[in-house]
Amino acid sequence: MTRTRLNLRTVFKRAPNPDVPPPSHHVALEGHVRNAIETGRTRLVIAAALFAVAFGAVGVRLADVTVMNQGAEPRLADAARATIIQSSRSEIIDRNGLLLATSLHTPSLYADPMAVLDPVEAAQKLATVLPGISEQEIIAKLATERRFVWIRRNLTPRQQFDINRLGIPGFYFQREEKRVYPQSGAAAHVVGYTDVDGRGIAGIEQSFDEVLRSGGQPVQLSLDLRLQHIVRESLLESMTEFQAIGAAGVVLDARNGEVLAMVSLPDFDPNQTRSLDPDAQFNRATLGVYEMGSTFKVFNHAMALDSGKVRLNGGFDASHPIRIARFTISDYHGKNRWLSVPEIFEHSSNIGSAKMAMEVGVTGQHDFMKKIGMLSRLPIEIPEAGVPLAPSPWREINLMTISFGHGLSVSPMHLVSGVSAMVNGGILRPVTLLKREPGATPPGARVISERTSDQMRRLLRLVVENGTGRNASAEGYLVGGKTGTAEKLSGRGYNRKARISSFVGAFPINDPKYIVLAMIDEPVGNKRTFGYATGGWVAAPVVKNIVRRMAPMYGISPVDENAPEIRRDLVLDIAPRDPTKNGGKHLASY
Amino acid sequence: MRQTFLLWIFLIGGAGVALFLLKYEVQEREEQLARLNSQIIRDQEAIQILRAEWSYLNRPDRLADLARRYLDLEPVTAKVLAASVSALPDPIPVITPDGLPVPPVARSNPLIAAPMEKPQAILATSRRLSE
Repeated sequence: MTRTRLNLRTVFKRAPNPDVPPPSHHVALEGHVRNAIETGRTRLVIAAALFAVAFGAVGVRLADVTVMNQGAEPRLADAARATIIQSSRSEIIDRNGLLLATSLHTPSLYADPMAVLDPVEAAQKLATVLPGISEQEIIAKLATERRFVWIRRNLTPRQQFDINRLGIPGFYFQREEKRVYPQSGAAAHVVGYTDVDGRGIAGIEQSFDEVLRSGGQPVQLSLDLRLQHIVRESLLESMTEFQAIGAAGVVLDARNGEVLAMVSLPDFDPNQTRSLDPDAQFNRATLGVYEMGSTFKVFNHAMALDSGKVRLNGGFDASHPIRIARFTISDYHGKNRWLSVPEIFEHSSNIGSAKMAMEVGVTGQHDFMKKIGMLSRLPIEIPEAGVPLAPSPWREINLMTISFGHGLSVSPMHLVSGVSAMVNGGILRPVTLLKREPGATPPGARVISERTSDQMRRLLRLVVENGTGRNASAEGYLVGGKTGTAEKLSGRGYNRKARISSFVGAFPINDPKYIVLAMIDEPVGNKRTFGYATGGWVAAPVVKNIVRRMAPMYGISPVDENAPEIRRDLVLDIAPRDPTKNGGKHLASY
Repeated sequence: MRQTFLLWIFLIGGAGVALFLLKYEVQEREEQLARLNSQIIRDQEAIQILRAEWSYLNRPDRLADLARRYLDLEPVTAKVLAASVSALPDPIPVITPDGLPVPPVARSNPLIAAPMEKPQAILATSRRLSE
């Protein structure tokens, strides 16, 4: 190339003189011309070398990119764009993976009234595919001067299809995200709900708002929807029968603290939160604190027995009411005689319980209640967690009333959590609404000895077999539990008519797996219960009903309640003696 | 000289046409990708809606109502459940046509099947493969 161009230039220079012979390749040049051409040659060589290096580099890189490093185009081009939907609010599911809350993209219909040609005809057509909105309403909406008016928010895909098929000009769709709760009210108080902007403002939706917003994995609850339904149905039945104003029910796994069902009635539909009744919104199971009544005697007996100051074969004189300050403590199921420790539990004696508590003392009781979590806010994952109402200062009168469940208000969930520790061998584990890994048992705190826990199991069985809780006996499933009936505070005193009737049970009581609580708010006795509205008549049958239906579902096989190996686990082998009389009643048959 | 020139023209022209075709091909593929992606999103949304509907139709109270109306079932009671096979009463002795009772067969636990033996052929093959 270089040489060719040089030649051309030489030819051009010499062209005017035809006499000169045609130039050879080696032209002899002289003087400054020669110097200039030499310089040019050198420069060209340098430039060519530079270009060669540059092109060489490009060639090497080309080979590197196309041959050495990924010979082909990347196989997955742009699939990431398809996951946009995942970035919306994540789902909430129950322990078996059933949907409790999900977010759907739904079309909303709006109109530009200026662009609608014939409002009357349009309204007529739309009314045929949109139920719940009349022709007149649509005409009224289209009569405005604005350029934008919502006709209907959050349509179903079928409605959108129908409207598209009508093909009326001037109507458009806007995509919106809507939180949907397919189970309606079944777990409303646990799941909670969101506001119009999709912010959680109750229940799990509120406490896990950040997690749900990030749109990752669904939040899995410990609830079992089937059990939730059973508890809710059983409570509703009882509420209707006894014309109660409310109810609460909890089923807890005694081994790891998982809440399997939690119901508060009346409840609400989280899909329609525009006009919520505050009473329906109120969570009676975790936020409401109540004086639980006799169910607290479970704690009183465990405390007294565990302290070593009261023995199972001891007893107290319950023949006379206790008078302290301006109060009188008497028995509801009065026996008016000396009672053994198991009898105090079996017949739910207030006098006996108060005397047992006095053995332990004010400090001992306060420390025990604190230890089993009855004085602190419920540690649970939803914001609706109740704070107990405890007496301050804690006097002797409080000592006595708390022994039978008055003067200290806790939530039903507090009670369930405590009872679980009393029967599971003495370990208090935090309750949770989130599903734990199978086999993962959280470390708990020992609150009573294994021996006391065993004694409590026998005492609880005694109540169901012979005492006030006979109506809770689900045959074959060995229910043990305690009834409770507490008068509600109204103004400065107690209201004899307004009661809270409850039953807390554990089954199978020889190796407790589940704790079941039923609480009915202000039941009214009826003919079938001979006018009674106590825990034994109202709440115990609910627990029996729940146990009967849940046991087959959870693979708990019924046992022969009179089999010797079962009796051995549940017998209270004691022969209590009344120190005032010789002999006395023999309790060794159970 | 002339041939070199023609070769270059030919190569440049060829490269131009190839680039042109490639560009259109890529454009088309990109459109296809966008179509597929939006289709995937639409399908995911449809799945989401169907899941919600499935869940809605499987509400326990609705299923209980349907079962009550259309099925002849009732809640299981403890009486109809047996804890184990051994809790069942002995079977009634079978009477043969000639009137003699057949001695009852010795009961074993029917829930545990004997472990199946591997056929020799499979064992031989696996041995050969492992060698």
